[in-house]
Formats: sequence, C-alpha cells, structure tokens
Amino acid sequence: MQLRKYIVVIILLACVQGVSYGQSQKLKRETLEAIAHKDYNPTFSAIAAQLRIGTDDTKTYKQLDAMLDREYGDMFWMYECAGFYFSCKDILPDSYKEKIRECWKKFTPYRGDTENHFLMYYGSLFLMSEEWDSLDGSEWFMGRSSQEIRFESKEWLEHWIDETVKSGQTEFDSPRYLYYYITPLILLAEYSRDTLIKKKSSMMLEWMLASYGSKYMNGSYAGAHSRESNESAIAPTSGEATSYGEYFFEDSVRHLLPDVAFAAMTSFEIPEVIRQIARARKAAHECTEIVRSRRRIRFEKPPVKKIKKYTYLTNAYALGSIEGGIVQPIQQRTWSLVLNSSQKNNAIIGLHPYFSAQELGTFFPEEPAFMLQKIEGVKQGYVSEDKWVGASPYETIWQRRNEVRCSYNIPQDAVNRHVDLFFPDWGNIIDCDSTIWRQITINYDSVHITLNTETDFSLTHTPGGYRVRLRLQDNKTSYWLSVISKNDSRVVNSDANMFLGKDVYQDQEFDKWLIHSPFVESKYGSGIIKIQYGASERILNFVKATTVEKLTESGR
Amino acid sequence: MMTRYFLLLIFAISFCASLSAQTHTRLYASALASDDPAAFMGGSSIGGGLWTSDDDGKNWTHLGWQHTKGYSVATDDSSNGNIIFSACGNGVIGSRDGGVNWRMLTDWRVAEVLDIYVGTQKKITIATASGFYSSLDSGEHWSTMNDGMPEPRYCARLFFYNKQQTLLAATSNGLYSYSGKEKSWKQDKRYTQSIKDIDTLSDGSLLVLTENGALYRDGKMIVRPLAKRGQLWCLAHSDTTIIIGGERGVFFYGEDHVLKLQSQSPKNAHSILCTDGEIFIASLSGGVYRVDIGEEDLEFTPLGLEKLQVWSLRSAVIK
Repeated sequence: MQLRKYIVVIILLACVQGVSYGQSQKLKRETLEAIAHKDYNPTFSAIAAQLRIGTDDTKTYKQLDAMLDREYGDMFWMYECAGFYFSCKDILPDSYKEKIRECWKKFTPYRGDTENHFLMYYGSLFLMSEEWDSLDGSEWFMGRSSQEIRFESKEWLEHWIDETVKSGQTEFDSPRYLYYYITPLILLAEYSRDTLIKKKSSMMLEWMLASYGSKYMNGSYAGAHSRESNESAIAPTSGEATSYGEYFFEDSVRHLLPDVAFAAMTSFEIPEVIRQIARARKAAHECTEIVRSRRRIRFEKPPVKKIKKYTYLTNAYALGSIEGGIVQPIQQRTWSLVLNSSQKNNAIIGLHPYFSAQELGTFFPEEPAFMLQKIEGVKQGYVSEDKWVGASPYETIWQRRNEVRCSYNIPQDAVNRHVDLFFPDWGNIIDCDSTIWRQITINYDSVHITLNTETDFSLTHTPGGYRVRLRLQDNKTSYWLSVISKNDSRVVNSDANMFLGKDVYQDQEFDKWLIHSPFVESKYGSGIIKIQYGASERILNFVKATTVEKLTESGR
Repeated sequence: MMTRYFLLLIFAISFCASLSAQTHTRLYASALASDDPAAFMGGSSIGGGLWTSDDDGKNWTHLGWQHTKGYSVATDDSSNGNIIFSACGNGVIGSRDGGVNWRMLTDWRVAEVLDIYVGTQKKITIATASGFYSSLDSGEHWSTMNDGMPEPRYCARLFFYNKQQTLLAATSNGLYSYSGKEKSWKQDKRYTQSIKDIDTLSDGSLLVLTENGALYRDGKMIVRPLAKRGQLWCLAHSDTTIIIGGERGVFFYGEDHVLKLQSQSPKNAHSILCTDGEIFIASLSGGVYRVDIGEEDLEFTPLGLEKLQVWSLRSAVIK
C-alpha cells in the first residue's frame, strides 16, 4: 500500500514537471506597452492597453466615449467591448461600467453569418450575461433575460466546440480570421465563471494554436487556407494571425495588432509543447487533416462537405493543398508553397481567377446577380482577372509530398480564361522557356523549384514578384510544380502515377484522422487531441473536458 | 315607412364611411442594409431593418432594431398591427406592442430568415436559407419543418394559396406545397426550376415565376425565359396586368401578352405589392416607388428609402 502511494506521488511529480508555459511577464508587459503607444485607429483593445499602462488618460477616455456613443452594427463591436470591460473592470470608473451596460441594452448588434461571427457574438454575450446575471429581458437588446441569453450562448459554444473538434472547422487555417477566434476564446478562457466553458475555451485555444503551430513557419501560416486576403496570399506574414503567432511562438511581436493586448492582460500562457512544435520542428513530415466546407445553401449538395487537406513541411518550405473546387467563397487559398524566409513575399501560389454569381449564391442568401453587382464594395478584387485569392470549380489538384499538379478545364463561357501563378522576385531564375519546353526553374536560397506547364505561358513583373500566366488550349491547361531543398531526403521523383491522380493524397483514405502529423493527432469524431513534441505529450480530451500533460517513456 | 328606410340607409352609409375613415393600409419595408458599398453580405448590415408608412409611402418611420438585415415581415391579422414578426438575418424578432418593444424569438439554430407566414391560431412558418421551421405558440417555441424537402432548402417566398388552402414554398429546387395532414412538403412536378415568386389572379389561377424568367399560369408557360432579361425576382398583378421585377428593372405584361421592360423603372426591383388599388415596388438598388399604370407604360414615382437596399414590401390593414 505504501509503495503504491509512493508510485502515485512519483507519477504526479513527473506530470507536474512536464508542464511548462511560454509568455513571460516581460513579453506581456512589452506587448502592452507597445500597443498602448502605437497610433491605431481607436479600438477597445488599444484603449484597454492605454488604461492599463497609464498613458494619457484624458485622451484615452475621450476615445472611449466615442466608442460607446456611436452604435456599431455588429459582433466585432461586441467582442471588443466585452474584452475591454473585463480587461479593465478593476480600474474602470463606475460611470463607464454603467455606460457599457446601457450599450448592451440599447445597441442591437448583428450576429453575422460565419463561424467566427457566431463565436464573437455568443462568446461575448455569454460573458456579459454572466456579469449581469439576473437582469430581465427589458435590460437586454435582445429582449431576453440574462438567464436565457446565457443558456443559448452556452448551448451554441458547446455545440460549436463539439462539432469542430470532432468534424473539423469550416473557417480552417485562416491567416486572417484565426485572429477572430483566438481573441474571443482567450476572453472566455480567462473571464468566464462557468468552469466547463472556461475549461473548454482554454482547450479550444490550445487546439487552435497547436494546429496553427504545426503549420507555422517563421511568421507565415503554411498550407491551404479557407480565407485570406490578396496581400497575405503573397506576403503571408501580413496576415492578422501572425500577430498572435509571434506573441505565442516567438520572443517578440513585430506584426503588432491591438487585440493581442487582451491576451497580454490574461493569465493564459501557451503550453511549451505547442511553442516547441511551432519553433523547433525540423524534419520533413506530412500533416493530413479533414476540414469542412462552408454551408452551401443553393446549387450544391450536401450542404456541408468533408474536405481533405494535406501539408508537406520541411525546414525550408511547406507545400500544402486541399482538393480543388470551391470550399469557401471569395477568399480561398487552394494550394501554396511557403518558403521559410525572412523575405516579405515568401509564397508561391496558383489559381484560376474565377468569379461568378453562382459562387456567391451558393453561400450567401442575397440575390446572386445583385451580389455580383455590389461585391467590389465589400470584397475588392473579387472580379479582377489578376487576383491572388479565390477558388475555381474548374480546378483539380493532386499533391504528393513535394509535388503538386493542378489541372484546369475551363469552359468557353467562364469569364477569366487563364491560370496564374505568383513567384516572388527575389529568387534566382535558372531557366525559363515559355513555349518549347514550357518550364521554369528557380532557386530561392536552398530551395529549388521546377514548374512545367502543359500550355504556353507568359512571365511578367507584378508587384512583389512574377506573374506566370498560362493560356488555355482546347479549354485546358495544367502545371506540375516540384520543390527540392538541400536537406530534404524524403522528396519524390515524378512518375506517371502522379499524372493519373494515383498515389497522391487525394487518392488516399485518411478519413480516420481529423488531423494526423508527428506533432498533432486526433481520430476523426473522437474529440480527443494529442499534442506532442519530443518527450512531452499533452492530451486534450473534449469529451471529458480534461487536459493531461506528461512526459512519455522516452522522456522519463 | 319610406322615411325610416331612408334614415336607415343614411345611417348605414355614414357608418361605413366612418369605418373606412378609420382603417388604412400600413406599409412595411424590410431592408438588408444601407447603400454604403461596404454594407453588404455576410456580417455587414449597417443601416438595415424595418420601416413603416401609414400614408402610402409618403413618410417612413424606422421600427425596431437598428442594423439588422431585414428580409420580410408579417403581422397577426387579429392584432391590428400590434403583433409583428420581423424576419431577419439574426432570426425572427417579434413585437407585441406595435413595434415599441422587441424580443428575439429564435435561437442560434435559426439564421437568414427570408420569409415568414403567420397563419391562424398562433401558427407561424418561416423559410430560411437552409430550411423551414414552424411555431404553434406565436414564436415561443420552434420545430423544424423539412420533411419531404430535399437539400439544399433555400426558400425566399412563402405564399398561402387560398384556392387550395395550402402553404406554398418557392424554393431553389422548385415549387412545394405543405400538407398539414401528412406534415410533409410535396413537390409540384410542373415546377422544378428555381422559383422566385408566386401570386394568384382574381380567378384563382396560380402564377409562378422562375428565376431564369419563365412565367407559368396554372402550369402552362405563358412567358418564355430570355437571358437578356436577367434574373427575375418578384411578381404581382392588378386587374389584367402582370408586373414582374428583376435585375434589369420592371417588366409589364399586358393584354398584348408581351413582357416589356419599362425603361424608366428602377433596377434590381425585388418586391412588388398591390394593395387597395395601389402598386408599390421596392428596389435593392435603393428606394420604394409607387407605380401608376398608363396606357402603354408604367410610371414610377419615388417614395423614399432611396438609400436602403429594400428586399421586400408587405402590408397590414390597421383600424
């Protein structure tokens, strides 16, 4: 009996020793200082940093007054306002607390229509209904009581967490919108009084950071993305997510966006095992995932489709893709090659610049033809023939480790009838033959890239790089891109199978795994995620709402 | 005796006159957002919501929530305009006091409510971008109503067909009718294309408008689709005239059986309302218009809301 107790104590000690965290107090303080002194358009998060640091209070309160006086229309206002309230609650004068209370009674912010919108909306409503926990419906803009709001918000949060950890995310791997997942989750993890939501939000945060960290490359988010901007498509470190990537994975934040102030004011620290995955992984490896399409409301079925996602990562580059077709409207990145470089433009991408009323109508409820008329006001560049984001229904993608083959069959009535690739202009072009061999070879530091095209192409300068434009022949074209780096021993050489769609990941069954890599794995539908690096292993069990970190046998 | 009849007649006339003086038609306009180029689609709904007019559109008053993507509205006929249900991107918002106080009636499961039908005995049906829900207690509780309806279930128009006492749904998969007995939707095999609007003529015959521009009367195509007309979205009739609105403007289908685009009409005409002999049109490009039927053409008079993307017009009789 004594011996058994002794063993239990030893195991517990081993577990405790295995847990270590990042985000020093120094980094938190420096981040807050930097945000407080940076000249942003006023945001609640920047104002919170200013109040916490104690800059010019008169100016800060003036900005706050402006933020609380004007009724903003959506959930972006809500999560920022909730974040501000909780971050500064201990130093905020009662008059401002009352003013904020009034806003949540009078303003009628819109819920939006995406996964990130709902998280911001229900996440902040949950926190606020916990704070003002016994008000009746007349005190809330929704006309519902605190109890009703809390119940609904909790129900959605639990539903979303369960669906996401078991079946995958719809707004997966977004260099832009990850920012709008991390902030609400940090707020819930820090300020919720509900132990289950607090715990699960913290676990979700870890899961999202682990997924991000496993594809993080020196500030860039590698692989295919559900949604990204034209700018971050070719300059990945300009994505909003990089701000959190640097905060959590690095020792300083260069791409400093104001919401990070909210994170710096919480006790949340990233587990060291996730930080190591993001920073220290070296060997070439594969990461397979299942994600979900955005819900399709017209023209297609089933409404939500399971999508295979694959990323091949080395120390020098990462090549990743999803199967072709439209998974997310307007901003999809179907494949990318990200170079591990400090150069600003470090991504190579390709696409058919497709747009249509049908694409918009598949995902949005407004009239398709009208959306096409108005789209440029809200998503600039959507109809441009030169755009760098977006998916095409006419694209098929096959990838095998360091090779990707994209083929296109574009009908006569499609508007943009060409295919474009972007190459950064800091590489060394070894060879370029656009009509006979139809080949480009180009070196970026230690990475050697070969592009072969089925049809003739043109090469022109474009901001930040080269545009390779493929013409169609009989409505068709295709290209094959191969990457080799000096240190990568696992590369494959092309063979006929690659051109037949065999032995490529799209041809393989990996439905068993939600995610599978040497660092993060989860069986599809299990709700249990294993995060590991070296001897450290962290298990997020969403079914039991538990987190266990331990040293594996090899580490003891 | 004659004097008594005469007095009775005078009394009846004055009674009717007083009644008609006390009743009027209230117009409701549901708007997606303002005309700000950035206030569009997805999470953008700045300026959207519900507007009403009690003077045939001369003046409009905002009612209820600010910045909510408004698709449609319905009132409980027995409430004299007090019980209002607004179909929004957020769900269904209801008021029991003529729009002074509002309450969200649906939860996270319900989004993008494109149309709403209020029946008798507190029964409400809603059509969303991804399916149907019904409530038997005036919106307090909801249950799905998708049996017999294949996916995708986009439906922008519910219509109660008096002749058959049936609720019809204009969906992207065709026209469906709901059988309360079988609690199931059933497709009308004559209409399998995307349907945008439904109306009935005074003889009870059913008009069905397809998105690609075909117009059917009781299953018989009376207007063929023509690509140059663009997408067609809404339909109404007045006497022998059928009016159709769409992307390119308003079309007039008169006794010559030809569908003619009205050159002065507002583009993106998305809703047509015929009430009390008046015809109103709402445009997604902005504004509500009164329509007057001339000898050959229609005349359009702007009535306001020109800075709003107006999705639909509805009306209620107020005493």
